[in-house]
Amino acid sequence: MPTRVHAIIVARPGPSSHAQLLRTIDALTLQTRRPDAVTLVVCGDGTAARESEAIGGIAESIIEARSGTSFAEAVQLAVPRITDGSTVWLLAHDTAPHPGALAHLSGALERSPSALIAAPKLVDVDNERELVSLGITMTTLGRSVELAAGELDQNQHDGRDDALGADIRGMLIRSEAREHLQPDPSLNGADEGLDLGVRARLAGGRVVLAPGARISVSPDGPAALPKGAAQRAYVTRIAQLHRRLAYAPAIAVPLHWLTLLPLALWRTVVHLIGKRPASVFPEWGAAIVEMIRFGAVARSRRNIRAFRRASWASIAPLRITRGELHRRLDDGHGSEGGAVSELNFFSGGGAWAVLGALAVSVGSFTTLLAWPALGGGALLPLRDTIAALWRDAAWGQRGVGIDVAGPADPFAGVIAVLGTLWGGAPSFAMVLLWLLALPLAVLGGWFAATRITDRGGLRIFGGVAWSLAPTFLTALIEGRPAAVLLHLLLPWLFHTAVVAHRSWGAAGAASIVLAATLACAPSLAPAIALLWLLAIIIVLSRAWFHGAVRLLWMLAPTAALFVPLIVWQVRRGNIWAVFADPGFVWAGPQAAADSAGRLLLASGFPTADFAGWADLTGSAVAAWAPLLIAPLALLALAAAVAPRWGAGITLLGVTMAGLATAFMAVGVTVSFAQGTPVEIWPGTGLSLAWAGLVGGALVTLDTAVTMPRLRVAAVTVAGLALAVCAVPALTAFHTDRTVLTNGPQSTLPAYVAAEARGDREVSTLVLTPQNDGGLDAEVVWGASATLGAQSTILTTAIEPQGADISTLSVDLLSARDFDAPGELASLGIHFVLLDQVEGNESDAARAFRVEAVTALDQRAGFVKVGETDKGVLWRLEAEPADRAEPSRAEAGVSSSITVIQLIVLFAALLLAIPTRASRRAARARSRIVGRSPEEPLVLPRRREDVRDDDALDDDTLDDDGPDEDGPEARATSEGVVEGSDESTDDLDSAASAPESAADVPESATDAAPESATDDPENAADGAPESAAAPAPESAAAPAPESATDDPEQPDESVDPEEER
Amino acid sequence: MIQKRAIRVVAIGARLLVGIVIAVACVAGVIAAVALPWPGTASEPAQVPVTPSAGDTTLVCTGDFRAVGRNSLDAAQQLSAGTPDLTVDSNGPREDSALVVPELEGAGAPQQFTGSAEQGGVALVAAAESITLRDDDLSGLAASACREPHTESWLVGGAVDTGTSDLIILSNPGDVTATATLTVFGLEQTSSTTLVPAGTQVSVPLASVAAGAQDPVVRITAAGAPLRAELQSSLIRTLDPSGIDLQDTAGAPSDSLTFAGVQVVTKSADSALTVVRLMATGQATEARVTVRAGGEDVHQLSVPLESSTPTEVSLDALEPGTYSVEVEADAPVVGAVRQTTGPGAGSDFAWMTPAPEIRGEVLVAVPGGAKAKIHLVNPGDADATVSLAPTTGGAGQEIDVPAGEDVVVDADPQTTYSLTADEAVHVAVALSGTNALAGWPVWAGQAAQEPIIVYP
Repeated sequence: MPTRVHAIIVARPGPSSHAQLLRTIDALTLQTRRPDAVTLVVCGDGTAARESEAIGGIAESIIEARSGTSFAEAVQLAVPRITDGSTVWLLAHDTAPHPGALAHLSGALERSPSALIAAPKLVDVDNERELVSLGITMTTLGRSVELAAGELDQNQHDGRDDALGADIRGMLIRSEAREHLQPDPSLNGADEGLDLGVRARLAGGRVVLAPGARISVSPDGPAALPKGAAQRAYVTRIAQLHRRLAYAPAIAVPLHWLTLLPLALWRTVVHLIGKRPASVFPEWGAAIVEMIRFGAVARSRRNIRAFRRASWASIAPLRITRGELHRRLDDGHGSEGGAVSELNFFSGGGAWAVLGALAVSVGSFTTLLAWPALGGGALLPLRDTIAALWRDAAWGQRGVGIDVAGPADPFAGVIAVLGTLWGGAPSFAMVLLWLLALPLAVLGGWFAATRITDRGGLRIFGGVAWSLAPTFLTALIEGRPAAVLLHLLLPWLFHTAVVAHRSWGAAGAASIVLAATLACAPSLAPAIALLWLLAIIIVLSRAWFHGAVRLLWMLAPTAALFVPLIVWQVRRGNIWAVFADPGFVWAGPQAAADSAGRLLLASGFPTADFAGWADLTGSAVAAWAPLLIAPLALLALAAAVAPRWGAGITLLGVTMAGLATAFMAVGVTVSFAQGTPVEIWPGTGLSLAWAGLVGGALVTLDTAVTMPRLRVAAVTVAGLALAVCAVPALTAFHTDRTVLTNGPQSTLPAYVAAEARGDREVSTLVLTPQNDGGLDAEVVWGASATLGAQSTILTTAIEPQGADISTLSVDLLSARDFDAPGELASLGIHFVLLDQVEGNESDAARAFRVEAVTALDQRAGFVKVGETDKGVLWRLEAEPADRAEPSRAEAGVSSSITVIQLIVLFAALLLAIPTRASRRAARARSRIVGRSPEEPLVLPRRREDVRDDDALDDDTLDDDGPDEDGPEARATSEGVVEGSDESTDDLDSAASAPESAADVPESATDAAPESATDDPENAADGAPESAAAPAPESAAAPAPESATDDPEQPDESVDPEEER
Repeated sequence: MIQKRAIRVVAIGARLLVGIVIAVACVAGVIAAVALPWPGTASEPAQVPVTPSAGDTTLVCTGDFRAVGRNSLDAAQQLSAGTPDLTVDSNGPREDSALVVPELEGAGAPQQFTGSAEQGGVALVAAAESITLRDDDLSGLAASACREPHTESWLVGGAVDTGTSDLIILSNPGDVTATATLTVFGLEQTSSTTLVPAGTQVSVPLASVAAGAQDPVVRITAAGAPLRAELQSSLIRTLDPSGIDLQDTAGAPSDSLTFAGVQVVTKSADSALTVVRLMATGQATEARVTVRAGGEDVHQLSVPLESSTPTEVSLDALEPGTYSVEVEADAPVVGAVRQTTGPGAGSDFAWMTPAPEIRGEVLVAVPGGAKAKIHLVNPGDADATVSLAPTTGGAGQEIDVPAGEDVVVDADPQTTYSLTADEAVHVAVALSGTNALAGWPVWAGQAAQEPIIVYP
């Protein structure tokens, strides 16, 4: 006689749940073997259920529970109603059993007496051929692994009989075991079935699979995992941790408990590298919650102990082995869907262009090779040691002034990175930067161009045009390190930021590059904020919410670096100072804030020197130099009417934003060089404008100029003009028209430099009589004034910062009789240096200086070290006080700010690390952003198709060879034409994702494939894209190939195919 | 199909139109942005005006007038031609001492007065000396105030022609040896150094350092200790002595010089009685010279100046009287005005150096020897009231100096006045008599030191 079956159905209130419940009830009535009793537990308002006749007809009772009740708790509520000797069937409102389901399940229990649990085959309610679950096992470390989820059901797993566990939904539990095998509420809704299976196994029983019993489930049922990625990550993780603490031998529990937080940290790193930032907070939440749930752990352990008959070794055979895991490891190969857009850096000629630029650079800056440090202009040496470099980059005592403790300029961080690259002699890193500036600019420009064109020749043109920007060359010959660094970073910002919405990897990289870019040129912030807003609007208007979140993240590192500085300046009512150029403030030549100056800027040159033309040819001829920019500008303007007009117009907008920044910058005076106001350097704005200009020109050349010969001609004319324009600047070094100097390695006399070697805290009071009769007084710590130690909080100060040394400085030089050495020593000053202003010294300044020398000579307690080319130096006889240690509060502020900044930057770095999965995802999409359906297709060419007469021309501008050209071009055309396929692609990858996710072992460092939690995002991302496609691409923002439903498309794609 | 094509043509047409409009708008926008004014913002650098603390005030006097060439065996030997008459007073205790003059044997020592700053803040000390000589080789009136030493002094005056025996007198009141660097600006620039031991006065013949210079200007830079530098000049025309003078530093180069107390005793049409010597110290510029008296411009001329090259121009045809001379230039200049009682033998001359601005209280010592006047010049825009009272007591007077005008006040000889000005004025003391002429500007003591702007 068959045993009684008591079904427990857990339902949630609500109309759609109710509809599903009715379907489940229907399915129950259609069973070939109907359950003997049905108990319905409604988690919430059960009125609808009570009123339903169908339910009333079958359910022996309806229990109402609180609305937050979990599946396991609801089952427990129903347990008392089960009569003895009944097997329990666990169902939810969404689990509709197929007619023979219960018969198969109970049959399985009857056939195998050792089985305590029979589990059905769960299939998707919408697609019954897709498996949702058929058996679950776990790894040696306890992570649950679905054995068949997501696969297409071809009965390929039906031979499997035994499993360690199964999904809780639809489980039939033998009556004898019912009392001990109840779902554990402490698991929070995940892995309950696995846990039951393990306990059954420990009781000497087993779990049998009944593949014949099919139950349709929907993904949002009460017993399913939550749909939200973060919530799902939380429940699966807390279930895993709970099982770990519950299963472990008693002696190991404290050890496991201790590893919870370190593991959370480790897994955070893995999540970030795996581009799953959404899992980070659930990870920590789960770890912390699990740490304090002593009661739940004890209860679970008690339950296991109470029913345990067999040893833990009995479950070992059913665990999944490493080998099996590896066999199941799906590296996603082929998930690109055939659309492989390779980079072709080497085969596309990019490497040769970079090499060529290196040769030009070495030719232009030949003697630089022998210089140990670079000086002149706004250049200063760097700190001697890496530790000091990084100390300058953190909140704390600044390297100048007395008792000035405050935020570091983010630029100091950039300098620290740069100096660390040549750790032995950081100052030499600046020389290397100058030598490598041209090739690096070509490299950056080339990569930025990959976002606009697939043609190798055009990419090279983009790189070269970027490196020949007049503003960049001016910055090089005038020694402006921040502007040079900015120009090198900007193309990478373009390269990463335009695809930041696509992937976390790009967003992570873009966020770091953005922080570095703004660190070099805070004055670009308004323009970049404008472009960012535009991107957000575009992304939101297409409902790419995940993309919007990634764009939001882009600002995080920048905010972390700048907020302390902004707060500091706002508190001092000097908000404009936030935009001040970082580094050494140099009152060098630059365009004036009048119409003539703006005309100069509009023509692309930041100084009246016209990038060396004025020096070389005189200003009359030099005034025609902007004509050499004209071809590029005309090409860029044509981008507005090019087929890819959305991208073209956006790039023109970038140019306008850059020009506006430059126009504005020359009128903003917030920095001071020894009391002389210095305007913001407009060249950085021009760099941004240049990015738009070169980008626009590339859009025109790539899409509008369809005749290969015309394209070659246009590129030749524009490129040659730029090359000619660059000649004076590139030869400036040999004809001595630059301000660059060999060294000095220290701005202070060698005596001080020697005393302070290794960045000892030696301070020098530097007094410089000014041409207007004033006196500049500053305190320099260390062996030299250094680039990283410069601080905008001092260079933009509108009132004295820190301990005011003005009175002391004047008294020192006056007739006042006082204990000057004592007062200086109490401030920690070791040396007094009397410097003279750079350039022409006025009589007032000289008289003041001569008087000052006499006054200091007559002071007791000062030992004259000597007159050097850097000024007259005195040493204090008194023993200077040690530099004031920061107070406890200051130290606290300092370390907390530093830790937050490091965490954010580290997270961004981890996100930016490319993985196999992220590289594959990048390859899977066209690198070009902002494609429009109207542009002509670049179709693959075969050798036999290339007519002799245009073969040469085309080869120079298209990718090198027709052979290599083929697959890529085909891929891109597919990207355009078959965009509608893309969502399918994404869904495919999403579907296959759980498999790939399944095999990230906790200890695995390599190959973290995109996980299940991420891929559905892609799917979600992809679907709206194609849905929103009829709206034409209207911006550079990041529009992946917008697929279209344009009926013309098939024609277009077919026609060329046929022609071919 | 045709319909589709039509839609497509319209779409492309619209797109092209929009694109062209945007491209044109970009160009027009840039042109407009270039032409239109842009807002800007400028902040002031952190700056702290600090008034240097006053130290002790040390005045150094010249001492005996030196006669050169009286010993036919040793032409370079200097003898004392006479000891000047000294007038001195101070508002507090002062310490009097004397310098050593190794070159003059048996002569009276130059006096040195130190007013201590510890008593009631600022020490005001004033001293002046005058000497009238009627010798065969020296005749005329020489008078000057005793002055503080400086690290840099400019001597604008003197000549190296035949008949002149000008001496640069360097006094070191300090405790350490000073090194004086004498840079002579003429047609060419030469430089030499001289050691001045502590507490000693030495002289350097101008001809020895400025040989060949037409109108020399000498810059004396002191290292080690500040020096008082002055120029003692004398002139012999043919065989007749034609004047002696003592001239002080002309002050720091400035793009605006104001001379007060420039005296014209006789009007002469043919010979240059009043001459101004100017030199641009840094860069070439053009100096605009304005001679003023009684609030009116009497004479104006413009002088192109080359860098570091002294230039002399004469101020012709001035009526007898007391004038002020203003020099404006676009670059810093130094200058002095030479006044002469008349052409021909037996006359006297005097160099007047620029008078700095004075505000607040100073002491003015007026020596004997000739009729003395105090010339008050107010080139500013506000009326000034100057009170003048003898320090010995007695009736003081309040003098109104309207804006842009000047006032001449007679002064008693051998009297020290306390002068207090509520607005910036330029003041000079002028002495004149028959074939006797002298004058010097009144300098502010340390009490009126300008604050120094410090950029921390």
